[in-house]
Amino acid sequence: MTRLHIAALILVAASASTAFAQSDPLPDFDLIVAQHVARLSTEDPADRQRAQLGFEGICLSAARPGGEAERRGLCEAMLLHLGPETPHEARYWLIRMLERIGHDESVDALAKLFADPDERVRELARRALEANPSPAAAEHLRNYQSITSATPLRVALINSLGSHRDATSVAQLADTAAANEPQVARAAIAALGEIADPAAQSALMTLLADSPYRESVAAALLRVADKRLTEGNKDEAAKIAKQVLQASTSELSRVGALNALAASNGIAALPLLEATLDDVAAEFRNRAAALRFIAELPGSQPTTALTRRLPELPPELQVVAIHSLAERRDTAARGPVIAALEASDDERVRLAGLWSLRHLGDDQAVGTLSAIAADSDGEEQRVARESLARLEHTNLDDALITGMRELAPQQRVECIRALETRRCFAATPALLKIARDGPEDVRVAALEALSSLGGDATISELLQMLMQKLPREIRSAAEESLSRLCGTSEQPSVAMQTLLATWEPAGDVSRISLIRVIGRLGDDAGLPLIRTGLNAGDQAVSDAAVRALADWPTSTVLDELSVLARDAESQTHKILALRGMIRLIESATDRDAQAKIALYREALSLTDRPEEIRLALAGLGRLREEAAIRLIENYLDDEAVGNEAGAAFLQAVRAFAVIDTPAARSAFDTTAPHLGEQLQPTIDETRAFFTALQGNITQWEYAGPYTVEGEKWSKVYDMTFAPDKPTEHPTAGWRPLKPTNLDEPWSFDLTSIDTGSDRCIYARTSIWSVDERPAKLLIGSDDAVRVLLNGEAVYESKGIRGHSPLGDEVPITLTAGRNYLLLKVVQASGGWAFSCGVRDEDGAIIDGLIFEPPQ
Amino acid sequence: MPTTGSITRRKFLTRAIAATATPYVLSIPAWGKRPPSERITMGIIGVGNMGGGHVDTLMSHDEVQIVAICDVDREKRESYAHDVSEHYAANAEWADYAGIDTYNEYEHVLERDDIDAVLIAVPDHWHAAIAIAACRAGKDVYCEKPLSLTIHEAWEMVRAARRYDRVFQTGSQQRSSSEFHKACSLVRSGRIGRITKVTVNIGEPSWPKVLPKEPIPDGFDWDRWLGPTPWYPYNFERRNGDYGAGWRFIRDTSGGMMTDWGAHHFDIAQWGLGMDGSGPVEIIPPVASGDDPLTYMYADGTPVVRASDANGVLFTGTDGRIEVNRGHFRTWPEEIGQEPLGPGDVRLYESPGHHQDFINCVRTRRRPIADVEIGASTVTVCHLGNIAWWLRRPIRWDPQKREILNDAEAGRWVDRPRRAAYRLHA
Repeated sequence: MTRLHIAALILVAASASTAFAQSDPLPDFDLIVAQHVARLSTEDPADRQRAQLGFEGICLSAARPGGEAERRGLCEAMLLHLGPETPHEARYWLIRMLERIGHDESVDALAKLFADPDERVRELARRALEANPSPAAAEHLRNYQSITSATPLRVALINSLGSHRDATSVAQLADTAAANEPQVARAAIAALGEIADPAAQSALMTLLADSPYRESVAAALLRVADKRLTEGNKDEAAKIAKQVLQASTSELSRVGALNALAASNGIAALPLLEATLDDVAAEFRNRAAALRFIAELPGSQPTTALTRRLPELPPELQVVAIHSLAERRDTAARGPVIAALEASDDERVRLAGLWSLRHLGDDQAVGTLSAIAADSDGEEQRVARESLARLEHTNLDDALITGMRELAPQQRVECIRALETRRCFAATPALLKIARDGPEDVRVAALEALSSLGGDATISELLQMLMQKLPREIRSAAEESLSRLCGTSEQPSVAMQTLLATWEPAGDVSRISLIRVIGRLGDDAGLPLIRTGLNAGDQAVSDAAVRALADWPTSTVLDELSVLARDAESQTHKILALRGMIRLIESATDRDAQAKIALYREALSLTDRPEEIRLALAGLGRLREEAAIRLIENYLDDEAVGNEAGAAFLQAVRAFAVIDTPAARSAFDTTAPHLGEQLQPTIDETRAFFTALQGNITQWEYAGPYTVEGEKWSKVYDMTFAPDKPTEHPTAGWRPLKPTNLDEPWSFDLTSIDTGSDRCIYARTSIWSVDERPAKLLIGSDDAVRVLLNGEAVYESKGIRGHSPLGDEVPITLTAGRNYLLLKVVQASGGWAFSCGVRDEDGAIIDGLIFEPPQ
Repeated sequence: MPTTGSITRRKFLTRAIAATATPYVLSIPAWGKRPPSERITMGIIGVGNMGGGHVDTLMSHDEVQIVAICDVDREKRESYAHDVSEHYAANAEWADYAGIDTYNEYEHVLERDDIDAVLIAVPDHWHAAIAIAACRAGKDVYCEKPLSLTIHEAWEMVRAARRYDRVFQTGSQQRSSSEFHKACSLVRSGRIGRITKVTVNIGEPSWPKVLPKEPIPDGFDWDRWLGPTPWYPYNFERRNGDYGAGWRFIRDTSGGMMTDWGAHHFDIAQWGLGMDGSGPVEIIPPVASGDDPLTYMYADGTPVVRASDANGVLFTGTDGRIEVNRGHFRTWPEEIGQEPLGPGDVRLYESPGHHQDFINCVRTRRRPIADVEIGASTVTVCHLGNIAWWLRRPIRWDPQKREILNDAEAGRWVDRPRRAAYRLHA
């Protein structure tokens, strides 16, 4: 039964009960209950569950506000069926319903069940009485407790009395708390703590003096103190806390008492908390707790108390103190914390101090933090930088801008870094000024910050800088910053026009900068300027243009690079162009595989340098083409690049195996024995890969995704779509499923098809077997999956789960010849994937199986 | 979208930001390698689906030493104890390692003075009793989510943690993930204006389940596994911890996906709304089937809706939308997510990773990112949704007093009786 069915069932039940409410007189509850009793006793689990849910719906609806007559009527009808004549499963459920909705009317009947021979009935009756708000329920629990001797049952009854919180139970519980049996006594003490009225408090106070379970009494009294605090009686709560503190022998009870004291007594609790903090013989956790409680008190005294002690505390408590002071945000702690930071050589204390300054620091902290950030390394530097960027004090941006102008150079760099992290756009004018005339290191940092803070208005300023004579590092930083600003511009075409318009008036050095900026941008709109640069008379300018073209990010320039690689006058330019060409072939989405192979062939024809040949071989290795394998094979015996060719060959046969496994395997078997020894690990991996391919299915067609507006995944799982219907299956729009993971091509990530939730796809293939044989289907899915073999459902997993590739094993029988395999893979949300393989009964690969989508 | 060469303008910007923005992690000083005497000693209580993963994670933290493993399944506890021993034995830095002890009853773990903290990864119906006992025994606690089986239990856990000054991390680890941190920071900083709706996509509540009796496997303490929940004859499904089946879907042991995933996604909704420590004032259940929305109304009129039309959590505001899930972050318009946080923006607690945050806080005594009170607030939201759903009527809630208003029978669902001699407080 699905959860939707359950919900629908309850709705029906609730509707029925609502209908009762509108009728007068009340419906015949005796009949309704009698009918349900039979159903609640059925042996069939699913039927009984349906009956339970249906009846619960009626009960809960009857117990709605304003439905008192119905609730009572229904309960009274249930009470008639609690006896042993009712089948036990029905009794259990009726009692559990009375636990939910029973009141006065149910108490006596439930109490009678304490004499029932069925232990489960007795236990459920106790629960029902515990949950029953009637004082009479507590009375029955007390009575039964007084005549019961079995310890576990007594404890359970006492627990129920505690949960019931009935004041009339206090006297009996107080007596029981003096019982000899520890479990019983402790339960009674805990129950008194639950009741927590003045009488219970008084009883516990008495017990505190001489009970052998003093720590249990202390814990119970602290619950009473909570109750007094909730009632607003702080004095009484403080009184309890002090008594516990005095009487308690356990360190943890003292912690609890101190907590209650701090909560009730406020700042007046400070001396006692200080005494615990100062107690060097106490455990760390208790001193730490006292420290934390002090830090939570209001006013300035706690800060004084903690800062005064800070220098004397052991390092682990200094850490706690510094963090607690930081949480208080009391700037009076700033000086002592900085002093502790400077005085300590304990890394933990220094890190805590540096961290805390983000909350406590003012403009003076800019100097401290920037100096430490500049002079340290590792964790200290990281935390100092982070705190500098996070300083919370008001006007800190101004302090950082001042620091950026006036401190030592390395501190200025740290201030700039912090301003950038703080996204302080107001710093831009000052940054520009530093970028123009600051010390060199600071100028570089300023230019880097401008790349994210500058905005469009800064583009022309940086262009102006690049028109001037600049040290190499500054120029490089300015170029980088300018390219970033253009790349993030709100008006990219305007930014590009600004760059292009600067070409004419620029000198050669500035033109080189412009080419580099456009090259970094990689925007095709800038290509005319690069081409102009190619033909410039100045060698350096044309050199920059070639380099920009060789690094161009898109294949737009592939043909130009091809020409340059062949015809450029400069050998350097030829090599640069050839490298750019080889790099771009792989990403050229406008060329098909054959065109790419032709380009690689051309590139290889233009060089005998191993460096470029290796680049080309690496690219060929990633193509899923037999022709690529053949081209690579030409270099297997080449002394200079033979190893790289071998590696590319192995990569290529793996890639090609996904397309044509037999051909790829044949190429592998022929060539692998002749490859170099150092490739042996890769050869072994490739051989294992082919073995896995033999048993795992990579060839699929899919249809879908299918989804129905408003339907959740579980409903989609149950629905039928075209692939389920024989007449529509052939025309369901089947397409080849492309591999998404070349290392495990049998594992398909379906989010590459669709990223939505609550949908499904169907995948189909066929398994050709020589003979009829038992086998195991290995299946993994994220999320739900249904598997049909030759039209018969052989496996279902209707649940949300992550993909465990080939994780589930399903026994199947393959028939001789073609076996049709159909998967329905359902997506709830998040990841969506599946994998499938076939093995023999012992888990071994079966020779001779062929996987291919049906024709 | 306009492009600049092969990279889109958006990608360019993202790359630029990635290069300059402060990382979203490591806001609290890490502690580096510590000598054995300064390691945090931990006991693991529960090594099922979740606990096993925690063991693996904690073994990679050299600041932590696992010294005890507790589980009612003998095979599991022995197996993990073996793995942990092997791991430490193979590591030269752990030459001082003195072995690991295994227990069937968690009380034996809590009795040990040499254990600083416990990780609780047992089924939901056991969380509260163990966590409260751990606090009272002076242990810091990392407790799996959802925090509790009932609302009452959750706030008793808060009370115990505060009373004994314990560091208590709830296992709602999405708060330690950058995408959720970023989404909530942007929402809290007003980047999408006033919030008009939050959509949370999670599953349904748990329900009663009838299962046939099966033999109890050797080495499995079924009575102890049941603990405070009503007795049933053994059936594997009742103790099965897999997702998609098992105890997570049975009402006596869990609140279903409403609490299991709600403890993640409602947690993010609460974080984004700044409602930690508070919650909704009215809960309106689905009208008919589970595919209808369940709506929480907050005091300021903001609805949080459980519905399927979001990938994870979707914040809708007057100026845009932010959708976030594991590995998924998206904004409308796109620019909202691209500009890093500035000094005027809300800076939420940044965690260096959920376990590392816990470890740091054990030393600094700060409250961790998913402090017990946060876990309690979130699980309260989850439980309230379940209660309204089970009762099939709207309920009103006072988030300050933590009471269901004007519906005494609904109020009885705030807690549940416990079986036999089990109780929350020792």
